[in-house]
Amino acid sequence: MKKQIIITILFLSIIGLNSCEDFLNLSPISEMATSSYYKNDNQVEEGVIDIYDGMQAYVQIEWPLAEMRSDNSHTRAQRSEGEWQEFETMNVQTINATVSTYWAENYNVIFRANTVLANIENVSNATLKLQFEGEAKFARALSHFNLVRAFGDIPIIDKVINYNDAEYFPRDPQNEVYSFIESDLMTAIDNLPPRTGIAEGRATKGAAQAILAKVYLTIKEYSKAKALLDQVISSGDYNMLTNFHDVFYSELNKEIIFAVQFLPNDTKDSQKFSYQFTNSGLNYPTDDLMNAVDSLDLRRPTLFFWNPAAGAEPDWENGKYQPATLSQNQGNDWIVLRYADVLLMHAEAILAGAESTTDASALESFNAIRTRAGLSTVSTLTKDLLLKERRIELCFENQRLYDLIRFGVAETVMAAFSLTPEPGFEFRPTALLLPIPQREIDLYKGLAQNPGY
Amino acid sequence: MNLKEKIDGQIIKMICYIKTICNLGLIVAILLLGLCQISYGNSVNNLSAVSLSQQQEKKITGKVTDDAGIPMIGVSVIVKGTTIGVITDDEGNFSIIVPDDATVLSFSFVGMITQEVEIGNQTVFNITLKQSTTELEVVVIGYGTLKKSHLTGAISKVQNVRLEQVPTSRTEEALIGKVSGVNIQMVDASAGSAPTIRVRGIGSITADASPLIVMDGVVVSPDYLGSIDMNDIESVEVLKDASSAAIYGSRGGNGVIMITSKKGISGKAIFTFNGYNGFKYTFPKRRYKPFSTVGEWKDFVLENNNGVLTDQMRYIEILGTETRWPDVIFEEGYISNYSLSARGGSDKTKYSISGNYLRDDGVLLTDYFKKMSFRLNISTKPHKRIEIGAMINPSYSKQRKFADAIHSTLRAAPWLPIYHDENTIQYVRRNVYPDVKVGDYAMERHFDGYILPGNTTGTTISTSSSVNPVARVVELEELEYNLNLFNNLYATVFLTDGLKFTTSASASYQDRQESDWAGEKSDTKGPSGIESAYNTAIKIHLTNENIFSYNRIFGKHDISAIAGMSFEKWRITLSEIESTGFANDFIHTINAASTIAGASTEMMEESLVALISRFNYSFDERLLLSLSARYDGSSRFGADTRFGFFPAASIGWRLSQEDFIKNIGWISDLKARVSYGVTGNNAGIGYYGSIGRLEPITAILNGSKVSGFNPINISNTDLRWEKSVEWGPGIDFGFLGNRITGSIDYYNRHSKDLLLDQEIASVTGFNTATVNIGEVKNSGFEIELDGVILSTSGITWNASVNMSHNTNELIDFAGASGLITYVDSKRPAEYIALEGHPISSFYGYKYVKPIPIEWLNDPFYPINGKGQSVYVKDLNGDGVITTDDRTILGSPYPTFVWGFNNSLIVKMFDLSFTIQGSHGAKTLNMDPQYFEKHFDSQMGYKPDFPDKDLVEPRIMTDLCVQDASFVALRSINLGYSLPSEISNKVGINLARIYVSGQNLIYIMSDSYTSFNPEGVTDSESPLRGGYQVGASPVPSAVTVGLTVEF
Repeated sequence: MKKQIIITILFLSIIGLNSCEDFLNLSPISEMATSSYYKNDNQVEEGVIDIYDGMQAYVQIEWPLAEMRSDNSHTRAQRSEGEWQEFETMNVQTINATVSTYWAENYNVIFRANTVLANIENVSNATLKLQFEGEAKFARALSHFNLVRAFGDIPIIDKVINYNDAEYFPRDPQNEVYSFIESDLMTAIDNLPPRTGIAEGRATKGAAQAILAKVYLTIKEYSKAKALLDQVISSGDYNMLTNFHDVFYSELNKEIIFAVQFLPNDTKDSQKFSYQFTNSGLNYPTDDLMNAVDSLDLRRPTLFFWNPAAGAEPDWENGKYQPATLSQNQGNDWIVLRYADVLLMHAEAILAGAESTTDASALESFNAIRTRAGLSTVSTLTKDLLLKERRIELCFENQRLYDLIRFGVAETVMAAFSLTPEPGFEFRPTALLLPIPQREIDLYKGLAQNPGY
Repeated sequence: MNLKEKIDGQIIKMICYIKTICNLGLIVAILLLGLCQISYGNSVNNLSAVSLSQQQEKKITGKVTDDAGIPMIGVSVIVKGTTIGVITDDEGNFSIIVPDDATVLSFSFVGMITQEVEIGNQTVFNITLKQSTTELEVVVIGYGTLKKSHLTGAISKVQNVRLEQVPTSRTEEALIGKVSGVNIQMVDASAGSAPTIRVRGIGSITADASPLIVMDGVVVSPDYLGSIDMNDIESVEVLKDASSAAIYGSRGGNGVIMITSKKGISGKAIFTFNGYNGFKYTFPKRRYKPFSTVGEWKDFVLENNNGVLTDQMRYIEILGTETRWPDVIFEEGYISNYSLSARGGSDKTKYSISGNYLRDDGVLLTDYFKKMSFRLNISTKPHKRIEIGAMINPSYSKQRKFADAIHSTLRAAPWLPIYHDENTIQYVRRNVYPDVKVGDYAMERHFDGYILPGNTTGTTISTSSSVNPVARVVELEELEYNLNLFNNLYATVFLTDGLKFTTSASASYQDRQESDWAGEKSDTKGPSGIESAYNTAIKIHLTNENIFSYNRIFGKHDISAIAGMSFEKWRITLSEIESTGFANDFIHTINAASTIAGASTEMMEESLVALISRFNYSFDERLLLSLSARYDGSSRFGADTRFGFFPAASIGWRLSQEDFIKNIGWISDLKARVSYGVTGNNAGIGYYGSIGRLEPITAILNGSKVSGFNPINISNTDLRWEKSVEWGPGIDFGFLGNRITGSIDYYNRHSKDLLLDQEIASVTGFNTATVNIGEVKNSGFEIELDGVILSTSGITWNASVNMSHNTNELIDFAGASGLITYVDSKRPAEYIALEGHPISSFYGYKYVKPIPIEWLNDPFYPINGKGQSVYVKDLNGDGVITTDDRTILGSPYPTFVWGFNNSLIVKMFDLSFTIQGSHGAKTLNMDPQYFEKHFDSQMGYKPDFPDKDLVEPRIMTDLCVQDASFVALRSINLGYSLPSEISNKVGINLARIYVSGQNLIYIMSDSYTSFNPEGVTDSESPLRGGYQVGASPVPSAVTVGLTVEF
């Protein structure tokens, strides 16, 4: 008995007298403290990976605000069952949650990029340092570009800021935003390797060139756009697939210039847009779009999918991202930019705002799209033909609204569309810009709202 | 290093020093324990000697009367130190056989002073019992007890009188309506689900507003209330004001609920059995207001459509089926509860052992809750200066939850059958559903496209693509298993007169496993839709407390004081696995899955150190003073801010001890008191809330996963304790020889430095940042009154009433005042956080009138459909409806809550009941949106509707902000006790049979259209309180029970 007591006491003394100072100093076990991180090449690269993780968020919710706010998509959801109808009737409320989430998720990617840039000096490998800087600036520019097209003037965030850094909160004029985007993408073009030198899914020189070309088209710098697009085309890194269907259903193909990747059946890396955008009952191609597609167009079976089991009255669905299974967790990648778009942009850059052109290289680029679709080639390219081809080739790829705006016809096209019985709404030109999320204004009164809201 | 850091540094050193001493103390205690073991054999021998010895016996008789000479029935007559006892009959007479060596008889009755008499040689005793004053009543306060007469704070006590007979699976529910200032709300009425408890309103904005639960002096997790058995509870005390709760400093901010378990008593073992059995049901069908029958809807169509049925209604008429979904989804349940305990001991050793089994088969399809719990309380005095003891309390429960949401099942079309039969199978759309056969679940879509006689095209009647609601409940299986082990060991050393040292060590282990299975028929996807998820949460909580306490009376000075330290540590381990890819329904565990969709584990730790002290002083039983101070350090805060200081003071003046009151005959007791205290809260931040953290993430590159890290918060090392400062006066009184007693309290609590996940500008990359900011005020009155209404021969009637009034106000919201938020972005019914109003305020338009049905797309289908939009009031009178026409529509907090308790004894019968009422609260009820099909496109208005600008969706108006007031007969209990002369013959001390009911009457407001006005289905943020969608219905129960003591 005495022995037992002594052993007990010894044992307890060991437990009792240890490490009192540390009793309250606990460190996270399943997370890490930020302060000790981003100190070497690997750690900064993990920050770069984090940027791509962030992109997985916003690309999934972009379609309602880019595609449904066009003449391509309509919904059957009612107003009290979500925001879908707000987008379809271009009557977006200032408290619309998808809009505020899109705003926040783009700025979150910008934050992730700025975190990498803030620690870029800790990268010792000079090549990697250039690449990481390029990737971060590519992502930062792309998010600013997403935001400036959706909202107009927006705050430029060029570094990691805190919640009381109010001097960063006001909106900056669009031209300053575009200069900032241009400068970031120029660095990205200089720093990034071509497609062959980097893992699929990461930013490349070609992707940065193509995005910057789109930026230039948007701000009507046609010759600069053409120069970049010529480089992308001549690089030989990309080409058109023969079969249109394969573009969407064979991932990492040569037509993809930049895509955000997903895996099926994965709680962290699956996407929900395949389900929502196609057979959830929220989104259908408009008759207007379906009527625009020639019945002999080889793309038609890929664009529209007939799903007999889906509804009371089965309807045509968006066919580009049909889920592989009935699960909501799908693996289809989101294509941000592909080579067909580059060719069409190439034609657009040469057209340079004119009504028509017979320029051979413009026609060559344009007819490549027509040929794959099994349609006749044209000998004169008009603005209308180009816009219509873009609509069909790139429908449901979040291009349509921005194409209409860029071509300067958004008001007339949408006003005419609003009178068709399908949506039947009152179109106001101010609806072409989204409202600044109300919560942002509530939190920082200096943030001005867009007109019409 | 600044001064504060220096001081904190010193304090840490001091704490470490004291901890070392305490550890030595612990070692000494263990040493003593070891010594005790040596002598333990003796006490065991003593114990058995008592029970085995054969003794001579003698008979004693007598009569018990009260002051006025009226015979008293039901008085307990017990041989002190034994379990031998009887109760007096309806003439106050008793007769008892006592052992020859019995020395003292004890006479006790609720509300009377217990009297003890020496037996000697006497065999006849005529006893007069006196009304008790509060003099002798003892109240449990933190780290000790206090005479009720010396109390200077606001503490309410509930003695467990038959609460174990209330037919409910949750301990908290038996307490509803018993105490002022405490609002217990059945937010989820499904079997075994926890109610919420709020003491004096909601103080915190983001932090959990639940009170601290303390079991026999040890802080336990709120989940513990789900595993304890009411049969084991002696009493419950609620520390309501800050001066009382401040002794729990850091975590007393939302009040403290102290539970005292039944302990052993010296003497022969008393065995107690309590069991009841009964059935549960929910409201009669007349409550199902929102649901029209097919027939009623046909009448509506005929009346409004010029006497012509629409094709859809014609089709439904031909189909000829009807299902009342509330009758299918709500079912009768049953509840049974058995518990057996043994209590006894010797002079030195006392024990209490109990076991309990409960089964609550709830009122929803598939839900049930089963629980087993066991408890051992044992204490022994191996030496005259040492007491050691242990409490061991394992429990196990299994719960099956109602897997789908109630609103989504009840909204199914009333013509839809559950299964296909020979009739319905004829209508299946065969070109789409070729495989459907008799006996399969019916789906609305199956019935589309049927071509009515005289028509050429098919008629569509489905309004939903979902599978049958029964399939969504029965074919999903959500199970929760809980294993809880709660253990506490203590040793007390009586050092000198009045000074003792207690050290205790407790460990609780909580293991929760949840498995969720979605079977093949639960969705339209077939085997590919089968999903299985499994997750576990293991919580370990270790506590060591070391307390010195001192009690001494010097002449007119009565002093009691405590000082000590407490160390607590928590470790939480979470894991989850999700899987898909099952071939069939047979195996539900994940070994049968072909795809693991996700798997992870996570671990968190927390620690808390506290220095505790309190000083109570009473002078001449007239002037009372209580001072306490607690210093708390929490691992959740940064090194510079982790310590918080929580002082409290209260004073009292017993006016009834002063001559000028003593002369007033009808005042028997009167005390005025006032208290002030500071309490804290650290629940508003996560375990590592002050540290900027990275979480592991993955992205897909080159088609496969790569890992990275993501910053998840903005670091804020300045975060500090949230503090509540409360003051309040109170009066305790007793009139007419304490026939009427009661108390009145006022309080005013300001909660400041709220730990708030403040909404921040998203351009920072984040939507929220945890900060100390803002201020909330709660103030109110509480009244408790107890009275002996009748006390005559054969009849005793006691009644008590309690009332509470609370107002909640957001004082400062740090620049974000006016912030509008909503729970569900798809149904954005709004809340506003506006300074000057309650934290949660419903916001929206005022309803005026519906849109005339001629302007709706199709007012005649679906059944129960109502137009999505309604005309709303143009509040600013500018002729158009804009967002400026919104206003505050109410708040979810009741302003007035009351309870009325009665106990009536007539001869051997007794009756008690509790009525509770709650008024002033509103609920944001989203059910109408589903039940009335607002979202259906037919319920939209026609494109040419001229008043488009004057209407808003119903969910944005006060039609969905409904009155949540109610009055309920919470419990009623009618019993009959066997007269002692009969029960004694069969060797039973006490036998009582009873019928008990819960919620037999439940009256709710006419404007409330669902099934539980107390229901809350999203309680994530205090900014958005009182939100309900598909709240499970309030259950009623009727049970028959038996209590036997032998």
